[in-house]
Amino acid sequence: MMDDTDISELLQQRQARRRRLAQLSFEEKIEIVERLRELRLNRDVMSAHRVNAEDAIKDEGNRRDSIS
Amino acid sequence: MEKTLQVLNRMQADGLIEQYAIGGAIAATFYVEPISTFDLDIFFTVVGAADKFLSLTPLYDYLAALGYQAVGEAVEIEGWPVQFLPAFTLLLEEALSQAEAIRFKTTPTRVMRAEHLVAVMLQTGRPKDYARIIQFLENEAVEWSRLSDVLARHDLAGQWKEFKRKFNL
Repeated sequence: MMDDTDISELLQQRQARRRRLAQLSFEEKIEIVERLRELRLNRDVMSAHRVNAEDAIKDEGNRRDSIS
Repeated sequence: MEKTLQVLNRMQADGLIEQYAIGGAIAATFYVEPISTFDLDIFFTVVGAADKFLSLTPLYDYLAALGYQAVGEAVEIEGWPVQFLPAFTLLLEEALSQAEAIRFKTTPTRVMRAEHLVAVMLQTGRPKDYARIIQFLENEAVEWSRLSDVLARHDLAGQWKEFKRKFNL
């Protein structure tokens, strides 16, 4: 379990990382934004595939139920 | 992004828009760390617009002729969904007219100033806006005297006081 010192250290590290990122050039930051967007889009596509697969399994289950 | 900005500059040169400035998360990214977003918010004015509720049809038609299609509330321009937002309040008009001229790589463009972005976020008032204001403050991205002027001019001093109280600032 983390104690208050660990949490405070983590917060400080996070703050330092954010400051470093803020100092990048605008072009570098936009490159990061574009990469983040790609990752989110890929995740959404994967999630849509999963939902489609789940729907297909449910449909197949319903079809079999209706036959039996 | 650079090609997207070039298209916006071409729209301005062709008289479709009078002036534009980047706002929203991308403008915030100019001042603080990168912010995850899907689209590019472009605030703009049109020459001789009779009222603030202008039609976006001429812009969309112009872009469609260049092969850029509308997707939801945006137009996909060179890989970036661009949301065209008319500057419909006095605060947005001021933010647009006083935006900072910058270059993205070699392409000139304009970004709303940090103080105006903070005022717009304060006025919008969603939790994510408040979180972003705190990012601006943590990064010392605003000039206090300028922010104070903007807040006073647009009757936001009370909201600012309440914001500071709420977040113990």
